[in-house]
Amino acid sequence: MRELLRWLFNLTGTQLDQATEMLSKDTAKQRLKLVLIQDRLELAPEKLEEMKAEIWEVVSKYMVVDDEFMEFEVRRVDDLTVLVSNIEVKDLSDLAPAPTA
Amino acid sequence: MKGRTIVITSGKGGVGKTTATANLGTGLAMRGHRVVVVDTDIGLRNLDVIMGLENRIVYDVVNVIEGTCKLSQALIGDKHDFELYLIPAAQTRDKNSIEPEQLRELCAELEEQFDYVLIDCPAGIEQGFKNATAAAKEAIIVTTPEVSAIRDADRVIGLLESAGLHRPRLIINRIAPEMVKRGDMMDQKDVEALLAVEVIGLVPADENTVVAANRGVPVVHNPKSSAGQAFLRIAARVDGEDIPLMDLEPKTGLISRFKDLVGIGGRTYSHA
Repeated sequence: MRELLRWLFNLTGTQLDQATEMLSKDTAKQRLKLVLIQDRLELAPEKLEEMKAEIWEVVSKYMVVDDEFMEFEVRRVDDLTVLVSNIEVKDLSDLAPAPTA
Repeated sequence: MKGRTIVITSGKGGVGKTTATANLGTGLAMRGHRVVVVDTDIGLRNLDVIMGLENRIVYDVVNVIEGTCKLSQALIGDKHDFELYLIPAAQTRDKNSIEPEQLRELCAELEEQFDYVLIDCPAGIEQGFKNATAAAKEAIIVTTPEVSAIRDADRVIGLLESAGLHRPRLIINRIAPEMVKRGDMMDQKDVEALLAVEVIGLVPADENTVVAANRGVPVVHNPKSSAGQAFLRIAARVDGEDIPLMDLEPKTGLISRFKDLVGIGGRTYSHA
């Protein structure tokens, strides 16, 4: 009886997992994206976060930007390494400098 | 004759560099070229067993470089009727036995005699990698659709770039179409997007590759096998032929499995 219950639990458990979890290849891609940026820039994860925060801070002094959305990409063009950052601008009409603290 | 020297590398071990070298070399020889494959994995040689030539070794690459034998004495002819030769690695020496410049000179000499000089690079990014890549003018990177292999491939791409080997091309090995279909394995587009290099070949995971290694007869000799077909395509593409990559569709239904089994219509995967 206990075996049967466990079996049933396992069965529903797996199904729940499959419904809520993302595809494992998408997890792999997401993790690799971040790791490759760190590897290519030779930056430790916390340094990368620090840089991200600082760049966001500078940009947000001049325009209203999304504090969630900020993307980094490191591209190699022959022997050049290029850092590309995408930041979502929330409000284009408000381009005046925000009051500085 | 001025041949092309191509290094086959990966960073990570066990992704199929040696298998790819043996099959690409054989495939190019089947297309009528004079080919030499050079094993630079000194201390851990394996290209000889994959090609079934382990009992014919007398001299190796270190002997040639040190001058203890003539180049022609270290060239082992393939068992099949092609213009294909192997220069084996030394087994009882280490990677520091040779220098990049020495291998470069050897390959320059080989380019005079062969259409293709393929260098099987050892795993890792240390001395052996530096030796192998210094001699080459083109690079092919072998990876599998797994996080560790892709990460290491990316590292190697960076190192090749800084060594002046631009635009390496990629072979994605051991693809399991069923896993790709259900989203549990990255596909060509995923890998291409991450590594930003040109894909030159897709090789399905195929039991025939293991059988081929057991027998010491590269899988390209088995044109019915999907991996064999994949490597023939890669050889054609390396050779400049503009043919599409292999379309890896999972096997469907019982009938095609059965056909596949008995070898009628014999294709496991359709070609676009």
